[in-house]
Amino acid sequence: MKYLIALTMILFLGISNAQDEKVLTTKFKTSAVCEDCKERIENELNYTKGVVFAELDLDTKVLTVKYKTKYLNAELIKGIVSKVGYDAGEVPRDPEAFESLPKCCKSKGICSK
Amino acid sequence: MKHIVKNAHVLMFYMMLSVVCQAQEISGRIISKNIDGQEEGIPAAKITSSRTGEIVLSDSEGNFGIHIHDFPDTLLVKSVGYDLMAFAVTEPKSGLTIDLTSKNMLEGVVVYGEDLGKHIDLIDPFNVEKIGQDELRKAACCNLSESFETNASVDVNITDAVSGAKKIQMLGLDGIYTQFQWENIPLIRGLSTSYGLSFTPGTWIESIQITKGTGSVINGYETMAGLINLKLKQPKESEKFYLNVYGNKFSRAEINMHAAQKLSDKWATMTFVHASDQFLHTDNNKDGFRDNPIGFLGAVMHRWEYEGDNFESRFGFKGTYSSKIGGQTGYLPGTIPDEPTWGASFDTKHAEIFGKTGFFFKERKHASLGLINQLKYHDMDNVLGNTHYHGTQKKYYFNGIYTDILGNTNHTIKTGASFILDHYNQSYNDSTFLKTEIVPGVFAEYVYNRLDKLILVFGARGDYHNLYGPLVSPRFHAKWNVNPKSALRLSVGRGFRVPNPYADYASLMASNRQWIVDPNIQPEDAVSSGITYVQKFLLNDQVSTISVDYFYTFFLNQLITDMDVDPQELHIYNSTGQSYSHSLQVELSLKPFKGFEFRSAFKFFDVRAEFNGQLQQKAFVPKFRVLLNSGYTTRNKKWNFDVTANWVGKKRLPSTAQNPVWYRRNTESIDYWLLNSQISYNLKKISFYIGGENLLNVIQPNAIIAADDPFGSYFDATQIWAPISGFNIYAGLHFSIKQKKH
Repeated sequence: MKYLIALTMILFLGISNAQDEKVLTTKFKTSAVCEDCKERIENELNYTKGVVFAELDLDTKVLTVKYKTKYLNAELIKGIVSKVGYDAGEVPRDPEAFESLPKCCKSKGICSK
Repeated sequence: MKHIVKNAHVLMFYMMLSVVCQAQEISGRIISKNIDGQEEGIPAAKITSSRTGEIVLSDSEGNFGIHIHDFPDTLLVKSVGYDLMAFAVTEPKSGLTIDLTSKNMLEGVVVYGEDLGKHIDLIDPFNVEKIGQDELRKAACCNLSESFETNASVDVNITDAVSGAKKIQMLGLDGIYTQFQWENIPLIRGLSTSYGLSFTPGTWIESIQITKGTGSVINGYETMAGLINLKLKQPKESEKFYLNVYGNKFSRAEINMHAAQKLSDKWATMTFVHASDQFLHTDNNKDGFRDNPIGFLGAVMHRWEYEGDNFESRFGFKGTYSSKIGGQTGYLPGTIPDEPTWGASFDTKHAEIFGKTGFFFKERKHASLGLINQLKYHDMDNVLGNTHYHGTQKKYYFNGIYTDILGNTNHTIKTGASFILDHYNQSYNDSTFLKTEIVPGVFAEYVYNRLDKLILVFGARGDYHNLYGPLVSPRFHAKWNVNPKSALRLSVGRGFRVPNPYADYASLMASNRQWIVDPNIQPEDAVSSGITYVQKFLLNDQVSTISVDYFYTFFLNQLITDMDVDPQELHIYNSTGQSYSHSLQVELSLKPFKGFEFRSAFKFFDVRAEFNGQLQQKAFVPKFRVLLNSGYTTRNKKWNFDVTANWVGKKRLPSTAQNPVWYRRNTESIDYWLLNSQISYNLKKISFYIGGENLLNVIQPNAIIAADDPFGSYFDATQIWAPISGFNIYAGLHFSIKQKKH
């Protein structure tokens, strides 16, 4: 019984904690061109603390990121995308990161699998 | 009133405007560049608006115009001989240039290549299913035989209760009627037929293409039930470094590694290593026999790739060594037990060198010449109780294929010649068999392609076998896109196969049945025909597929393995009566919401031949099978969940009526469900997985007949229709470092 009460308390604590942090979604356009770029951006964000998920739609090039406000905000996310080498909304790409991208992803050309 | 009229005018104006806005034209030209950099218009290239599905074709100069209703849109451009390209358009434009040969430079062009896991192409005239990386990862264990776990077209069965080996079935027909290749080089053939599936580690495979029914003539005369072609990992595209570690409940441990290196723009190399070992014996069904053999398997491969301007080449070598011990748990070779124990050992050595070379011609840009060479050595030494089999195969294989167009790309021709030299030296107990097969052959295939919508393939090949004379195999394939989202395919063709009974049915040596083999074996000869219909549809913006196929294979001659004459004898002879297979498959694959995929397949097999003088269903082939598979990937792609359920219907079993009562078995097996599941957790470079096989713990009761008297004449460990070793739990990890692309 004691354990049950302790467990319940932990659960409630968890819930009240969860109420402190908000989960928001941001959407912005990127300069991604192909599957490779999509994978690169999604991978970087999905393994960033605070990101619930990141999804890029290649048809529209719009990146959707669901994130926890406790760790991140939209500006930080755009900064991350820029550091990968892509324009993120109004934030221009990081020139150094862009240089190290494969040729095809830079020239907006063909990215063969 | 006036206002209303005025408003109506305004409304009409807006309506007209919106119509204008909705249908704006994009125009331009589809071109290719030849070696000298000159532009040439590509006629009859297919341009599809991916939003509306509207299709237009480029004219004789390559010019096109298409209406776009909503921006942004993506134009899909397809022309024979070029990769499918997707071209993003964001605003109305004219004078676009789409260069199908360029590797870069153009605004918004991507070559379309989504890794859909498993997919069925709508353009290929052959009914090819592709199993990609996503799908292969769903069944993390262990070798090629497990790679088909989530695929409906290929069924996998355990061969016997001793070797632990698995065999495939297509169209209800034994795996020997399916031709195996890797990158168009023969893979499982001759002596490796019985246990060959375990020699290709699963992690080496990039993708698998499965063609149901008869295949193209350029691959040889042997496709009857199907053609399976593997693409192994490629030096330029694969991970720079990859490591996989795996362990399971039965003490099987496995390590797989490969590393690739791009040396220059032209040269790349790659090395593969595999080692697996099972060190503890398990006997879950408590019959005194190891459920799986213990022992070691090691495999290496090293390959090179060269890509020049008019010339490319791939070559390398492969080597496999395997040493396994099965049979009664007390058996260990080299030790003398207190009482006689039934033991089995399987020792295999395999080595091959291979080379593939392709030439392109400056003056004829659609022409190419491909040459394939393979030199192979295979040695197999099996002991099963008092039976001893030893076989050595030395093989040389050559295939040369010239491809060109006739006039324009609507007419393609592939022609060439092949040569096979096979030398077999086999011994079964005290009999020795020596055989040399020399088979030169020529072939031609003509492809008529009408805008990719209608494709007709006429093929024929003639081979001359030094022992059996001429073998003529005509083939015909057709594909028609009834509408842009569906394809109807027809195939009919003849195939041959020269049997090698002791190697093909080596697994049947796990019994004390006396082998009675007809000394005058003739080539197996079958005509296979099939019809396939695939329909794709959109469900919640995701592509779903329904497919139906029906195949009929009729054997003009088949080598029958008859276990029905007498439970203590195995008769192997040319079929005298009818032998055929009807196979029907209905498959539905749905993606009801993001990240979730559901697949279900229903299969019906009517496979009959004359056994013991009576036309009856082939033993161990169920009449009905069902496959259910569902997978879910979280939106951040960190977690994958996968569940596969296979229902295997009742199978006819060979008669054991002549045995003493306690060694008799039913003439029909019971149906059962096989349930597998796997969960993966992915990090940036590492992914962990844990899974279970046969989770309902289905075990065939009393699998081995006369397990208590293995040296007696009733002993038989080949009457296997269900798993013998109970559920399995495994865990492992993949670690990979990607290659930097340039």
